[in-house]
Amino acid sequence: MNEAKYTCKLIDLNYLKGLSFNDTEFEQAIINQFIVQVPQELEWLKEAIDKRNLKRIKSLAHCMKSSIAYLGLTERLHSFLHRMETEAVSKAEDTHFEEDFDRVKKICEQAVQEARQLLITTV
Amino acid sequence: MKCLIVDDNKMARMAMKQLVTQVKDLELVKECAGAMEAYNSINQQPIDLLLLDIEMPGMTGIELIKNLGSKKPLIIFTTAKKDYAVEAFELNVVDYLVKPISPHRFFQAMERASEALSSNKQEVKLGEQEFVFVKDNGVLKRINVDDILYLEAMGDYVKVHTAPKFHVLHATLKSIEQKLPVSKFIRVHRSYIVSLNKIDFIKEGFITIGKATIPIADTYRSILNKRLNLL
Repeated sequence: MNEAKYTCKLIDLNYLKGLSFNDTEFEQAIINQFIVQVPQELEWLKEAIDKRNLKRIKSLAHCMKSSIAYLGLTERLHSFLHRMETEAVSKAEDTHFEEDFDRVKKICEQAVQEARQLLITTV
Repeated sequence: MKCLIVDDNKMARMAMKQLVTQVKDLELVKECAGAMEAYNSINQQPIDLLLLDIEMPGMTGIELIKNLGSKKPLIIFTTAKKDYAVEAFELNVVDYLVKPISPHRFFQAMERASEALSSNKQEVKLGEQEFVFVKDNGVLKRINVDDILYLEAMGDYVKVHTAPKFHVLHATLKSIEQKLPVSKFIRVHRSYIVSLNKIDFIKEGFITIGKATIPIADTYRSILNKRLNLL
């Protein structure tokens, strides 16, 4: 994948490239899956927060930690997802769900845009 | 080695599949999005190795292992959390990989799995045979495996220490190690293998068995710690 055509501000492909062993089809498949999967996870997470479904918040925040890692977003998002997960587990009274979700959503939406650009410039 | 991937996250399954395809002799039988699907699959088609996520909706990875009972294959946990490490080793898993998993770490785990698989096969063979024969002054003597305290390398010879006496064999420690049941013995030093059941206590890097004091080399320390049934 020739990323020289498009410079990402958020996405970091180093981990994906280490994992791909130069298999560009695999790299594109992961980026595609990110574009499909992450917005869906965000939608489910928002629903779970609105309903205060702690079990679901925990499960989705945990799952998203994996999803965002493949495009190198762990450093930017881990702390927010982790706090959502731990607050859901501990059933804390004072939570930061909305605040953390907004931060995650904003970065993920930008990352999805970047991912789309990456695919356009490499097809 | 036949393996199965279990993870509720599709991207994680895709990444794991990519790593699996890099390993010669590793065959991906199936990928499952949940533990229940994996449970049904393993009951129908046995596998050698399970690459298993822990936190999944419905049945967790740990519950899956407990439900599999004697049908349990070799397990490698693949999880985003470090919290389950203690429980994992109590369940005798081969390795514990924390996501995002580096290829280097994955290959290391595959080597462990491969070694464990051959050890298991050996153990099955040795399971019925609870004794070994050793040559002692031209006589073949039978030694019960359970009587062996520890083995000590001495140049081209190995000293087999049992409770009443010791036997000296012309062999390498490695060749004898391969003939002993893996579940009962552990290498703790280039020159020593000990029987886990015979350890009296461990203090400051040394194992005491009866009157003998055996050093633990740094390279074997972590494996020994994993095998000890620490409360």
